Amino acid sequence: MDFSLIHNLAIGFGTAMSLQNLFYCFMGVLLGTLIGVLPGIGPLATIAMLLPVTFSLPPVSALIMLAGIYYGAQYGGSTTSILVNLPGEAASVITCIDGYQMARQGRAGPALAISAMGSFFAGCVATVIIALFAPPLAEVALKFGPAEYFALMVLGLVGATVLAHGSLIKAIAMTILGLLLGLVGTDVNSGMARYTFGLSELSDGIGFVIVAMGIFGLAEIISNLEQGESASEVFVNKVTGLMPTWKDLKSSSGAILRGTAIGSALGILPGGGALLSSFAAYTLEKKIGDPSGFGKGEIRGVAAPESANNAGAQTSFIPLLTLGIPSNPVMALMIGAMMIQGIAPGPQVMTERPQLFWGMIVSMWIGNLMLVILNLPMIGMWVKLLTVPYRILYPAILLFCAVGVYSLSNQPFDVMLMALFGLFGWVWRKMECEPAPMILGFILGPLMEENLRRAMLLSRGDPSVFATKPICAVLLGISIVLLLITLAPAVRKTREEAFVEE
Amino acid sequence: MKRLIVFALVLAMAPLLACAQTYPSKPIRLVVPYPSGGPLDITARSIGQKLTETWHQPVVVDNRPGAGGNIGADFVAKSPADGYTLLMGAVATHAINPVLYGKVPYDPIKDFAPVALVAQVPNILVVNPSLPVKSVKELIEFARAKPGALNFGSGSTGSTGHLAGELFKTMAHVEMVHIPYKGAAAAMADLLAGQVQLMFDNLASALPNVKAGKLRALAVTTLRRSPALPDLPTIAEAGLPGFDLSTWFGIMLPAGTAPDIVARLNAEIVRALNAKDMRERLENMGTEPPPENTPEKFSAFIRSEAAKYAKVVKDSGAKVE
Amino acid sequence: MKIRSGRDFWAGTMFIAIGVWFAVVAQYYPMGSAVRMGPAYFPTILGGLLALLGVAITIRAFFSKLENPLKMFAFRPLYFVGSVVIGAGTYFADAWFKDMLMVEYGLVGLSLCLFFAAFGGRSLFLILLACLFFGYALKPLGLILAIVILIVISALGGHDFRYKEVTILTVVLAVFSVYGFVKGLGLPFNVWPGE
Repeated sequence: MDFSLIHNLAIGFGTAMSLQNLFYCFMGVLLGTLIGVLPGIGPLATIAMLLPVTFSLPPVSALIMLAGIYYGAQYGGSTTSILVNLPGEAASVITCIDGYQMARQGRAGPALAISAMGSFFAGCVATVIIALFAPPLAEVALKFGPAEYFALMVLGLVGATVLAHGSLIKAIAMTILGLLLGLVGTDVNSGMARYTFGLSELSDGIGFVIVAMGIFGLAEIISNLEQGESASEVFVNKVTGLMPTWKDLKSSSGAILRGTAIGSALGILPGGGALLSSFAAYTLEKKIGDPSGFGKGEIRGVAAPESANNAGAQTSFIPLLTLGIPSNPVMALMIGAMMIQGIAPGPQVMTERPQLFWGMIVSMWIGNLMLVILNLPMIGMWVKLLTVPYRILYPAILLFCAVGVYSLSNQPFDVMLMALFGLFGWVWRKMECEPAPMILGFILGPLMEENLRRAMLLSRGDPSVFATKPICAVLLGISIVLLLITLAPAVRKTREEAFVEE
Repeated sequence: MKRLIVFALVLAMAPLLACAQTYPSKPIRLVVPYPSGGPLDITARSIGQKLTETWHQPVVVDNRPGAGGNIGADFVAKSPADGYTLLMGAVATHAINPVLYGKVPYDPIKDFAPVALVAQVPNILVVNPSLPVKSVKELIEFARAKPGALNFGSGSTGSTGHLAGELFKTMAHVEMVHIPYKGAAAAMADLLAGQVQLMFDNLASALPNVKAGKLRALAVTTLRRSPALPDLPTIAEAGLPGFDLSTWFGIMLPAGTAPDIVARLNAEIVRALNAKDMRERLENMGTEPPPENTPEKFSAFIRSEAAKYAKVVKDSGAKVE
Repeated sequence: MKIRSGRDFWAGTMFIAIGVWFAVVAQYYPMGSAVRMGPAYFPTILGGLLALLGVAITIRAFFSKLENPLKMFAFRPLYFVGSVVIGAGTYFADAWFKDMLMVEYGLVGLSLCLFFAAFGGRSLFLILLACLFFGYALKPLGLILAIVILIVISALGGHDFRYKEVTILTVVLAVFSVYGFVKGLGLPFNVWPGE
């Protein structure tokens, strides 16, 4: 194993370090970062558009570039989450919570820097993991059937309540609200359209981007404007340094390590793994150590999820490269690109086309390096952007949101829906009902129901399957324990109010 | 006076002729009624690129996903018939959905002018190797011996993977449970894991795992064998004569488009399909450019498919509200 | 008994309403059984759970140690009711509007505007209106005009409308959008009216 690994890495370096591939790697990550920064317009649309360009490229270069766009977008996505509270995709939602608060306190620079550093570390580690353990990890991932996914989602949802820093019962209620909203659309298991009222635009559900732009972006803008004249000082003009302090680095180091571990583990699960990683990392950080600063600009709340989601982004290539199964729509596109090039994605890619497999892995590491080199200097530029008077900034933000949402499926309906969610988000803020648990419920809800019903279908209606399958039982057990831990102190009124007073 | 009238008529016709001759004079929109990334989308982009090269007018792919393809199809049905809005219609939008959904907001026959069939991709019956069957006959026997024990996965209710399974059940008189997934990839993942035992998946997607031995291929669903797997029998040969199902897609225009535009498009598309690199791509998908590809043949094909699926869907009892 | 926490009271009431609504609408779908769940099963349970939590939160509003006022924002019940009535009416009477699509769209638009105006102040209304107009103006009016509408209306929603700044901003953003979104990313927007 040792010799072959070195041999394989040599092949990888040989392939990835060619001038052409370095160039395409750079183009990919650059483009990905830019796309990620534009809220709403995600890597999917970009890759789709660039697909014809890749037809004429050699397959390795094409895939290196496409992959670069994908994980580059993760880096860019955290930029908007931190700067303007706009999550570009599901994984960046968590970064908004503490990252944006840090920006408001004049600490956008350290937030962005830690995010880049954490992502780089996570990317490197994840790449090593792929190199060493890709095939066995893929086998492990296959052991996750519907019952196990259901249990994982339940665990995720129980943890959702930890995301809130206010009233626990309202957080649970918001989670359930999110679950219900996620059910709008066509039900996978029966083919029936639920809560669509005949509107074909809703038949595939409400898009995540629409909800996120509305609740996080629009509601934030409106709230800021309502605060009157002082709104022009949304961002503290005195920026306290562009780089994290030693204290920051020390406290984040543990967070980065833990985030990387969680992200790498969850990323290998096709279908829903990587989504959970950033949020699971945040939850873990909050539970370990001092939870008081979370939600108000705690740097660990940025470091952990960012590392997790980058690790998850890298490891989610494992099902693609080893089994030919895409973990998300972006990878499905890459499979398409591979097929056009005559490469059949599947188990034999590793053996029949080692340059492709190992070249991609090494270029991921190179790409991460390029990204951190690209992003760190840009922090200064981003921070300067925040000093632009808010009255000029917010219409621009609004434009990007609207364009981003519209570009999803070219329907004005989506923009209207975004405005509605902007309204709801604003109302919920007034009621102190937090958006983060709701978003989580929104993402996880449909997955949870789908897997629950599928597990029951497969077991022909036997619910004991949840207790008898080992992984599933363990995950459900942890969920119950976590639930008890969370609820127990809250049962006593005094603690409940302590939550509310925060 | 007569000469004046003739002259006026010719003058009036001139812009029409000019239009037809200088078509295309502005960018063309190719609507793909599915999200980016599937084989249909990828092929649409390939063709779009080829047409762009020939005509020096951009052919832009516009993804309009939703409602199993109905949203995109409806959009084109209601677009002006000037030749600048094309649809990559598929078996789903023009044969399956009208029956499956009960009604769709467009008429698959009357609202469209078919231009050219692009590809007809077979589905392949694959089983997890843990299932002790090595042929279609053995599968049928196994299923009859244990009714309701087998699970078959599909990418969604109403997909060709699902309907192939239903047709199989009807023709072979066996009981199997359909497990729908959100996308064929998710179904494939569970098939590899053994949660479901068989699947009627798209040939191109299943091929790598078959070749790697992770899946066992039993037969293809079309009447003709696939050039990619010439040794694999068809289901019709292997035990259910008359079994014929495939995923096809092709270019269509709104009804009422000028016949010469239709003819020009057809000629160009056929040329693009037969270009060496397109042929290769189609072969990678397990198929080849359709022979004798004329708008009339395509139109007749759509009609026969619509009739066929009307029966398949009804017999299976599958329904989407 | 005094309502101590206005926020909690309204939050609770909202949750009850939403929960009940989801559960009731779910009854139109097949329920199935616990072992073979139909599409209505999950939403009904969740809706019920949400309503229960809503009750708990509402009750807690009467006993909360924290006080907030009952009036959180300027709510205009007249607009709200009007919007719901017009919206629901248009939905259910959909068949009447077969030949009068423009009228139907107009009514839906009115319903939406009333809904936006029913809550809060000027900023809220204008920002949301700007988005609404932008979305629907993109096809008929083209990207550039839609951008103008969006920027101007949203700037009006702020406090400090400076003509020069708004004009420069609009021009800059319009140019950026055309080159970045249309030419660069190839997004299918039409830049000018028509098509």
